[in-house]
Amino acid sequence: MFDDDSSQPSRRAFLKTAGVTTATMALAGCSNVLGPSQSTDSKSVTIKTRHYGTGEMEEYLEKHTKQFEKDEGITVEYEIIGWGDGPDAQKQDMRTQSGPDVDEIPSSFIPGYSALDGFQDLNQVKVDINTDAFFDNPLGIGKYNDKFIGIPWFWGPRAHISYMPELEKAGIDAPPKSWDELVSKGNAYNKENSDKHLFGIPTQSNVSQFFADFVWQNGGALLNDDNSKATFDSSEAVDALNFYKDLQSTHSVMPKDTAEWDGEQRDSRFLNHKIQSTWASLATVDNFTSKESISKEDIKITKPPAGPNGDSAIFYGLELVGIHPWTDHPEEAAKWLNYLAKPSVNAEVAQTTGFLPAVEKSFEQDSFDDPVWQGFYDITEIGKTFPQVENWGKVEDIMNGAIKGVLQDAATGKWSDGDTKKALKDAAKQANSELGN
Amino acid sequence: MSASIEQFTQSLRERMTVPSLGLDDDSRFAYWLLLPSIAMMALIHFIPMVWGFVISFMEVNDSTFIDWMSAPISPLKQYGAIFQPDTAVGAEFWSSLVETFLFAFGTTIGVYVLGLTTALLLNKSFRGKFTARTLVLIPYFAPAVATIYIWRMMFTADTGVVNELLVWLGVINSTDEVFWLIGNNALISMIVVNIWKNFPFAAIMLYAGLQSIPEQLYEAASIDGASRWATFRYVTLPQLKPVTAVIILLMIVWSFINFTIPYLLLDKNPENGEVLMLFIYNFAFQNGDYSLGAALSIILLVISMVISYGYYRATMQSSVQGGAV
Amino acid sequence: MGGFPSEFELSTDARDHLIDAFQKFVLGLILTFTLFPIFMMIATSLKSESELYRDGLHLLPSTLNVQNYVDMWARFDLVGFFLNSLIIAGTTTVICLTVGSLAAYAFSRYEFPGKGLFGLTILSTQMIPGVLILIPIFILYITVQREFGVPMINTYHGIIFIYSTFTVPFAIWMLRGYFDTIPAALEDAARIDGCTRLQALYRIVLPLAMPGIAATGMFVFIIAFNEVLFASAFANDGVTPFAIGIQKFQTSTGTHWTEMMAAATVSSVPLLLIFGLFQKQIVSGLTAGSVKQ
Repeated sequence: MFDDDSSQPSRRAFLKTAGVTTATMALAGCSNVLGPSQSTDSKSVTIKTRHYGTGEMEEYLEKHTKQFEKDEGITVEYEIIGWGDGPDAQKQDMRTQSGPDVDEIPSSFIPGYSALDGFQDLNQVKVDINTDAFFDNPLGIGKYNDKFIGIPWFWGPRAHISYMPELEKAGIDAPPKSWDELVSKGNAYNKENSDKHLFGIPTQSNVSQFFADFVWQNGGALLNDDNSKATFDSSEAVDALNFYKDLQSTHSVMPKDTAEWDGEQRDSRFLNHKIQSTWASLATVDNFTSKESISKEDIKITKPPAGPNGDSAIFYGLELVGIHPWTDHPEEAAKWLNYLAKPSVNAEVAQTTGFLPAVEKSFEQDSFDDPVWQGFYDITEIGKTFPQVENWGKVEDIMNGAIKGVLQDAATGKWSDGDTKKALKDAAKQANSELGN
Repeated sequence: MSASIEQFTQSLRERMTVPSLGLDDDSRFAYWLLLPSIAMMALIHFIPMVWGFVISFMEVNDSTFIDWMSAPISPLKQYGAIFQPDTAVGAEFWSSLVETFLFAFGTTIGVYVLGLTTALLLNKSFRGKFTARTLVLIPYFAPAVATIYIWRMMFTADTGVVNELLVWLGVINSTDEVFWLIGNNALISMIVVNIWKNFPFAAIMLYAGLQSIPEQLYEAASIDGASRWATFRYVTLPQLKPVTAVIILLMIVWSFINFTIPYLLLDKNPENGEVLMLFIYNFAFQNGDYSLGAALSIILLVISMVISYGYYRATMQSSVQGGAV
Repeated sequence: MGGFPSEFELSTDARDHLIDAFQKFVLGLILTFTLFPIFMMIATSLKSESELYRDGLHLLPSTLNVQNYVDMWARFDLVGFFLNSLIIAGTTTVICLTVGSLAAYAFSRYEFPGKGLFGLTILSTQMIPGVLILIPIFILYITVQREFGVPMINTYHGIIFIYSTFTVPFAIWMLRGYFDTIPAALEDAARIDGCTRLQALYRIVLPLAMPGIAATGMFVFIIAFNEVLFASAFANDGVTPFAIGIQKFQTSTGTHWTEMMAAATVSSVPLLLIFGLFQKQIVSGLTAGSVKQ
């Protein structure tokens, strides 16, 4: 992939030089066969860093690796991976204990990557990392099992995003604050619009996050306090899932088609005004406002509605950057991390990815002084994330199965009374056996 | 190319002498010819298969991955979990197995019937026959990933062309979209796509089979005054028996272990239509539980061996003594 | 060509016409089913992103948007992916056919102890679920890398070795039937003329078997070209094949469907040309192989 992506910066010139690039590619592939190329130049250090292709990541890294080399004399080669195959590629490197020196860590993979011994404890590196600079919440996630495995880079709470002109057309002046309001406003909207809906969240992407949102909003929790037992079959959780289901099947606040949507389909339906509000990150807003005739003022960022037994709450995700244990240059890698954590540099990654900067000072930059950014910033206080336990992947799969089962059965007319409770009970039992009891 | 291989093989044979083991010259020569393929299959198929069998009795996961020999041995943990309805895997296993069977048999029947129909229709002379024959092969040649994605777009409930066509034809109402990718229809969609992808294979094999049926047989049938149907029933079908056996056997076992179509057509963790291969990949593999994945795979392997052995006994041994295809 | 010469004596003209029309109709239906997704692929590749989600039935793009065919090249190294696929699938085909024809020849011509077992072995390899052997092969490759210093993962030879082995049993099976059709008398004559057995195989049998070998090679090539599971684990970085590369149109900010379909359309053209041109040979290869009972 280094071969691929080192050719990407010039991708705009690619058409012109397609032939040459192809030849280079083939040669690069052959040199792979002959063995890993060893750098013989011992004076200048080169480290490799790998990141997910969020936003204009390539331009960002192109600019800042150059700047970093100017400042510190350390060359940084970067690689960009996609969300589809990225996690597998990362895991594979950890299994073979080889690969780039620095890597990005999506927070939900922390337990899995730790099990693979994928990242070293940053406290053991000789270069100091100023931990005070980061927001407390994400910093806590970077410390897993008493190891500081990565610096928080950027983070993204979801928010309740509404396209106000459509709401106002139907006589709705503000986004709903409670579940009841969500239903009543959804019904009011349906009266004016036959084939459009007020709200929509996808079932095929991150459905456990949306389920968690509803559970939290209703005062429930996914696991108990010491993460040893599943509690997502509590009565709050059952009510939450039933409400989630009824939004599409009974109340028609969401279209039934959401049972089949993934995140991308949701975005496209939002863009085409098939749904007027959703729970999503800034990236969706960016997507939306990049469309002609939609200005940022038309978008309202609010806290999601609260359930009858709880307060507004919503999921957030976090990206971290860590150092692999097999690196030959831990100090240089740590310097690169420190560079990425500079307020101005960190602010820029937030701008390009459409997430919030993890460094507190970054947020003082002028560019963040607009209602959308501030709206997301305000949401951080109600942000929650998944429990960090080793078998979480399986627990989440089990939850996914149960939730999807209920939502899709409802959409296809197979759901009947008591199904929700039974599905969650069974799932909790299965989850408990994965959690070790 | 063949000259250098010839020299290579020759020089190998001169340099290495094999103990005769009481074998005659012909047998030893045959073993020489088989050696490269046996060596390759041993490395890629059989050693890993035995290895996987061993792993299925251990607890190999992400943290014990590299040093897998030191992973704890727990002989029946995985198999126990599979046959216990309380566990996640136990709850999913049986429904997954049923879906796997439906997927395999639905595909096989569809591929064979459509393949045979196509082959029979192509086996006549008409204008544009060559073109038709080429066009039929397209699903087999077109890049699999892209064509499966296009099916996925076609099956989408709210914007897919399948529902739009049904609305246009007046079969369904525009507000009552049919879900093709979730619910009970997910399995049907998978079967349709798999048939679409594989029937050209059956069609061309059967077409070749039809072409090779000696003309005299038809002449004899017509002299006897056999009807169209009788000719088909008593001349064509029996003549196609060997190639039929091969197609059906391959379709069954290939469908059992098909990964590409369920993986690309449905969502990453589908609730319906999660055949065993997909379940193994999603639940065991993606979560780093390699021993569980190995145990499930072994069960899948045993099932598909039993079925094909039964089929082999029932059909092939009698009809294709000494000759495949 | 073949056909049913008996039809004309059996039925009246009118009935024949009816049947003929019905058969044409069925063939038309089958061709529609076959080609409709391909038509949709091409139509999608000519649509704009926003047109994809418009309501109602509109099969054809409202305006021909060829921009997709320009933009797709800039997004990824498609040519590189495609070349990787050609290298991988092409080399796999050559290795598989070489190894496979040797074994198929032995299987066809000689009686040797364990012949039945070998046949069953070949069949059983077709039932091994990929996920079962993926991890062991992975550990095997890592061990080779560590102990012998030979890189295996993400190399051409690593994935080619896997694919060649996967396809060899199928090739043996197909080719064996073909070799059975070549009379052994030819080799006997050659041996009397002083050829060794190997020479007889290379000079007499293989040239005669070329149509069958070509037909088998087509299937092998297609299998190797479209494989996804092992490619995703063993062929990344510089050797990423097209089947994996095309999935990169799915990015974190959405999938570029129209460009993906443009890429798929373009990549289909060379394959269709090759197999369309050689279709006659392929069919005749298959035909000869299936003659025998």
